[in-house]
Amino acid sequence: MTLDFDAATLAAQVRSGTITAVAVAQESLRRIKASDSLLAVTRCLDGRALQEATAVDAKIARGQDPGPLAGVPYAVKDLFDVAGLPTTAGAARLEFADPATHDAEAIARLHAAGAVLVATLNMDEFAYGFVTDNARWGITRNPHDHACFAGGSSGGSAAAVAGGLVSFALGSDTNGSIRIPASLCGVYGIKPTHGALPMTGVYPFVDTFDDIGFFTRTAADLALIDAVVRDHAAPPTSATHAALLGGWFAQNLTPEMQSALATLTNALAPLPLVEVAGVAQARSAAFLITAYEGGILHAPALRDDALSYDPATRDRLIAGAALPPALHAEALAVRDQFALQFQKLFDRFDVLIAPVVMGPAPRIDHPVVLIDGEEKPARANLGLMTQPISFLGLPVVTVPLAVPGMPLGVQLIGPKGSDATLMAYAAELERNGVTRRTVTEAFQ
Amino acid sequence: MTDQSDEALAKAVAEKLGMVLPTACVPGVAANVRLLESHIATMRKPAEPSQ
Repeated sequence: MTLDFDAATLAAQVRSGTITAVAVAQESLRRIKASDSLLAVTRCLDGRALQEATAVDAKIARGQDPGPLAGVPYAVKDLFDVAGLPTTAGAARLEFADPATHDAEAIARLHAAGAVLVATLNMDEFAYGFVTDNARWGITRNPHDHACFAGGSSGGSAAAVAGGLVSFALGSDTNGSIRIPASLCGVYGIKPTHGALPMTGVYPFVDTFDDIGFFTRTAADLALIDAVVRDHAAPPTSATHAALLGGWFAQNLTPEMQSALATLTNALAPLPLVEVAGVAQARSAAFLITAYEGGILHAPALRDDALSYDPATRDRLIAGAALPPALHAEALAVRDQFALQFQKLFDRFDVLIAPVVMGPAPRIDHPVVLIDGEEKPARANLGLMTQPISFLGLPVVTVPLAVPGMPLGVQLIGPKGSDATLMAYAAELERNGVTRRTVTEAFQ
Repeated sequence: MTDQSDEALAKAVAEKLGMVLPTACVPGVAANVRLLESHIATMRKPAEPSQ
């Protein structure tokens, strides 16, 4: 079935009766089953999806408002509570845990708006990684080239949207886990101002940085989903002054990213180049806070049964748990100093633009990135340019650049509370042809 | 600290956490301790000036 899966388009068709929600859900489920090789989906929720879709169609038949997301199929990273299912957080040790008694708050709001939940999605175990290399559910493949990573830790979410399986997907971002897979898979993604979206019913990782967010096929869909999931959205203001972050954010870039940024700079001219100091220190502080808080969270379970964890996650968590509390406090103090520079920049600019990663998706058979000329593991180092930003709790919209070949994305970074402005700016870039979703050959 | 053997690093971690560290964890834990030490050193370096 040829069906445009953009959320706004689908919702309009369902609401007008052009197509039924059940037909859309069946098409989404069919696409999921035809895309097993992506390893993006961990559980296909046929029963729930058809039940929710039937309820939407019944409302329409009765003349009731089915909600702004009527019949729109979506899926969630497997760390959102789904009533009746174990929340695995990507861990084999939780595969048969007690089922959740309620939906996560974000899912409850989407349900009330008429959206239809069709699947749960793959991720790095406990969200600790940047590639979605999962010991139990496998390595999620990039829909644009199955030999490449989809990115992580919300790799299943990005791949499901980029692959055309669903209209949008929920994910989470602690150090880059929405932004990185959105960039590598060529879709839109938002990491909100820290604490702006509901965390109830979401498996935690690092309280200081954890946020939920979502992936979409269009920039316009970002605002549509956001209006449902967010409590109180501030109206967007016009973003008129943008700048490109240089220094740390201009280093280690591949030729593809350098070329894409040059094109972007021309398209948005004048686009001043600005720098901040101490980015390496900030990134390391974020790394240490993550290791410490993640380690402390998991320490009891690690003492009890360390061998039930994926070794790549386990050993990072154990080492982090042994860091002293004073070091955590020291890292938080670094954040306070680092934040001052951004406050000054936001006096002059509405949006700061930076690459998400150094280049296109790394290959699975060569899982490294080049940093200062040395090959480093992609799993731990793809967040080089995202960690210093989420460190500050700033909102970021990731947009896919209109480039040939494998996808490349940039971060649109704003001051806290400017989420709506960033989404509006992304929509403007989309209208101007500066950004566009990278189209796959499978389900467009 | 990072020039210590894997076993010594892992033992120090196990003692801090009050856990019996399975042998399979020793190389990975030691490697991660070294990585964290490098991040501590980076965090404490003076920041380069911005432009």
